[in-house]
Parts: sequence; structure tokens; C-alpha cells
Amino acid sequence: MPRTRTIKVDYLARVEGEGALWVRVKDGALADVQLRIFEPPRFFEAFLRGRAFTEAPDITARICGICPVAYQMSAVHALEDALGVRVDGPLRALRRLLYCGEWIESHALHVFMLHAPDFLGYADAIRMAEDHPEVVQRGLKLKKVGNAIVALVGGREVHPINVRVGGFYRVPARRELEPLREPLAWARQAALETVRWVAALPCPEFERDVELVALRHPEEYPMNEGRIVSSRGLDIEAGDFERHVEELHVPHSNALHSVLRGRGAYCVGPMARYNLNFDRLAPVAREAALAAGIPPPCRNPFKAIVVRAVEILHACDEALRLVAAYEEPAAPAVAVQAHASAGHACTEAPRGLLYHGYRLSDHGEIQDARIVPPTSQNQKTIEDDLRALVPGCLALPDDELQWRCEQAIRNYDPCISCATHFLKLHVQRD
Amino acid sequence: MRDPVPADGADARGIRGGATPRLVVLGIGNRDRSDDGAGAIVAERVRALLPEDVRVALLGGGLAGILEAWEGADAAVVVDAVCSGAPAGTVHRVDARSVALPAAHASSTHGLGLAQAVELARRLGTLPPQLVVLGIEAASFAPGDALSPPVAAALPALVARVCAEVRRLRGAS
Repeated sequence: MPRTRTIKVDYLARVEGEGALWVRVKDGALADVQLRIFEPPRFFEAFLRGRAFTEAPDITARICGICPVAYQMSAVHALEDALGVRVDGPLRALRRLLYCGEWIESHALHVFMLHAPDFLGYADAIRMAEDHPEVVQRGLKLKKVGNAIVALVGGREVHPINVRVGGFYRVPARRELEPLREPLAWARQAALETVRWVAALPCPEFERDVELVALRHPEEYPMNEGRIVSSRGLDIEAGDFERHVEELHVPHSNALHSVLRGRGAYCVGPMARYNLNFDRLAPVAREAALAAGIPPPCRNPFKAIVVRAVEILHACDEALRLVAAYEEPAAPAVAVQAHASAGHACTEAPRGLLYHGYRLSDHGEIQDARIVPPTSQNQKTIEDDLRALVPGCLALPDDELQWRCEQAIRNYDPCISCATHFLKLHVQRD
Repeated sequence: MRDPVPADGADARGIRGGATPRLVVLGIGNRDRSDDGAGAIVAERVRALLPEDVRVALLGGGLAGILEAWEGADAAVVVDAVCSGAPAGTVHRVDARSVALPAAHASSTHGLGLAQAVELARRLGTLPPQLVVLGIEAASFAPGDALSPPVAAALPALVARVCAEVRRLRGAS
């Protein structure tokens, strides 16, 4: 007689936005896995049509409360690509500092508050705080340092308002950045300790060889710029993104699934950046990663928590360097002239590659906008991870199986709100 | 042209007052979401009515911001919109030192709000020694900056109540 087990999580906790997981097991074998993203579509690309190009950074920042800087950065780079503007020197450094702030706050939130409880067997960070108060305190304090950078350079902590096409509305004086030094020096040390702490967490043995996609820059660990490269030889400009990435609508998700044409599912985010750009990490981050026992290639997606901690360390180190080297720009922005044009850019959001493409009219009105966020790109890979993971976990009771599945989803720090354009869990055992 | 970066360390979050204030009033809410803005509006109104040494902070409701805003305070009064099924405009008072706030469903990062902040602070030992939460029952969280009539009508009494709580806590602390 056939036996069905269904594991369903109606609302996935500790992810951004609303989604569910459905796992169906028939006669002791995995039959189906679906990540169901039911958060409604948000139509940001349509809102942008008819708006002035200058509004894009502020409108797209509203897509996400955790990574608004990423949206602003992809927007300004894509529009500068369209309008033939190059932002260099101290303005470019200031953008990178702002992005470091967002990486620190977003990663600290995920590592400490959202993902660590999975590894230690706590239902949430509040219960984890009872036994590990100093760890939770450290996480909150690290996040605060990231917030301070975003507030200082971006004008406020959430949905910053100081970014514009061509640069910034106002740039800080050198002395205004000074108060960041001491907290950042603390944060760099705290990040080092965090790498050691997450490396010691009990971690499932699981490996999967998936195509990793990230930016690669000639000198830097990628944030704002670089070519799009993969672990299987892809090497393209951002302008070629839409030719290589196909967005598919699947009936169970309001977020489009991305695949590489002719190649299939791929993975963006910390794991991809780390494996493709290990040599570009700050020396302190490289050493900490090796000491943590994750030399590249690292193919265990559960190690993403360690990689995020390594990236926090890198971002703190980089931010300190940028603050020390900061020279006040001659002007807060370079002049930008509207004309009929099209432009594209990818930057590295905390969760991975974020693509923006725009077409502008003669007067700089947005005629067409295309935004491909990291979580939609990772959806298929998350499902594939679960398909590979669940068969080895079928001996587990439903609640433990569900736990392991949710932990595996959180490896990607999915931002459903960004992607809807996401979580509940259902495991059905037939 | 905008000048969004405040010069010289002026507090972007609107916290005012001395270096070690003992009392803090937190108004939580999003003013573009109808009645959700009630906490923020009340905080703004009481600011003009309270002594200079009482810090008043307007917050969006994120956990980290709340923990930071009451750090080091001897007493805090928190005003937030709530949704319990009571008639709109009803004010609920919770002594959060002795009782847990009723939490909404499972937490997401978007949902790590006041109830989670209180419970986290309780475990971290960073809850203010006195913590009063005044929750005003909301009718609508729809986009827009207009309050519903019952919530708008209840605001003057809530403002007076916050001031009375502050007077009581100042006397007690």
C-alpha cells in the first residue's frame, strides 16, 4: 500500500517575505519539492515606466528594507552606463563604503538572528539569547556598525536617500567619517571571532556541484563592478545578462525562476562570490577562512553561514581602509545629461548578483526597466538542494526533516519580498 | 536639492536630550500606513509637552532600533498601534516588565518588532527597569497618511496618558 508523507510549512519563518515549502514523499522516495512564493507580485518595473531616470535609485530602494543600497547601486550604475557617465575616485570609494555598511548589517542580521538558531537547535534568536546572550549581543552590535555607515553616507539607516545618478546629493567631510573608525576597529575584531564561532557550529555533511555565478573585478572583491563569471566558464558583460539568463514562470511561484540558457540552474550570493573571488579577499579574511576550514572550492551550502562571516570581516576591513584613505570629492556628483539610451549593470547585493537594465527617452524618461534580484536567481538551486538533501534525511521524523529543509533554504538568506516578483513548508509522504 | 546627511552628528533618528537621560518615550509606526502612524504622531505631540530631559524617539519598529533607543534608560513608555480585535481607538496598557506582549505570528526579519525586542531584551538583561507599552487599537493599516476617525479621536487622550505615565515614572524613579 502506498504511503505518503507530506511535510508542509505554511509560512516559512526567518526569511524575508511570504512563502511556503511543499515536500512530497511517496513509498519512501522523494516525489516532489516546491518552493511556493505566494507574496503577490509588486510591479516595480511597471512603476518605473514614465518616471524620470533620476527617480530610479529612490524608487528601487523601496524594493527591500534590508538591501536598499544594492538596489540603489545597481540602478545608478545601469543608468550611468546608459548615459555614458563614469564615477571614479573618492565618489566611487564612498559608494563602496556605503555598500560595505549594507553587507555588514544584512549579513550580521542573517548570521546571528536568522540562521545560527538552526545550527544550535533553537526555534529563534530570542530563545538562543537565553543560552548565548553574548553572541546575540555581538550580532546586534555588528549590525549597528553597518547601520551607522549606511546612516552616515546614505542619510538614514533604512532606504537611504543620499544616492543619485552621478554620485551623491551631499558628501561627508573627512572629519565626519572619523567617528566610524573606532566602531569599525571593534567590528573587525568581532567579525574575526564570529568566523571562528560559526566555523565551530555543527554543520550537516552535504555537497553539491552547482554553477556558481558572481562578478569578478581585476583587483577587488566584487561589489559594484566586474564581469559576470561562473565556475563553468561563463564570462560576460552585464549588458549580455538578458541574453544569457532566461526568466521562467512556474505555476507554484509568484517569483520568476532564472536559468542560464542551455545550462540550467545556477547559484549567486556569498558562496559564489567566495569561490570565484577568494584571491580578492582582504588577507585577514582569507586567513580567517582557511583557519575556519573552508578552503575553496567549498561546495557545502550549509557553510554559507561561515562564508557570510568571512564577508563581514572583509567588509569591516575594507570599510576601515576606505575611511582611512577618504579624500573629500571636489563635487558630490558628476554632471549627467539625459539622452535616449539604454544601459545595464550588475552589482553584488548581500544575497548575490542584482541586475538592472533601463531604456531611456530623449528627455531621460524611463521607458522600460528590468530588475532581476538574487533570490529569484537562486530559487531553482534552492529546490535542487532540497531534492538532493531530502532523500538522505527520510529516516528523520517529520519535524526534524522540516527543520533540516528550512535550514537548507536559509542557506540562501532568501528575500522573498525582493523576488516577487516567497515561505510555508508542506511535506507529503505517500 | 536635498541635504540628507545631517551635519556634525545630529541624530538622524530624532532622539533629543542629554547624555544619560533616564526616561524615554518611543513612538513606533509608519506614518504612510494609516493608523500604524499613531505611535509616531503621539510621540511627536508629547515631545513639545514633556520636560527637556525626557528623550523622545520616533521609530519604524525594527528590533535593533528599539533595543538601541531604550538602552540605558531607567524607564520607557512605548506607544504603538495594535490589532487585537477590540474596538478601534481602544488603548491597551501592558506593564511589559511583568508580562510578555502578545506576539504576532512567527518572526521574519520584517516581523522582528516590538514584542520580539521586549523578549530579546528580557533575556539579554537589557530591558529598562520600568517599561510601559500603550497600544492603540488600529482600524486600518492601508497605504496613506490619514488616521481612521476613531483613532484620530482617541489621540488627545492618549497624548495626555503618555504624559501622565511619564509624570508617574519620574516620581517613581
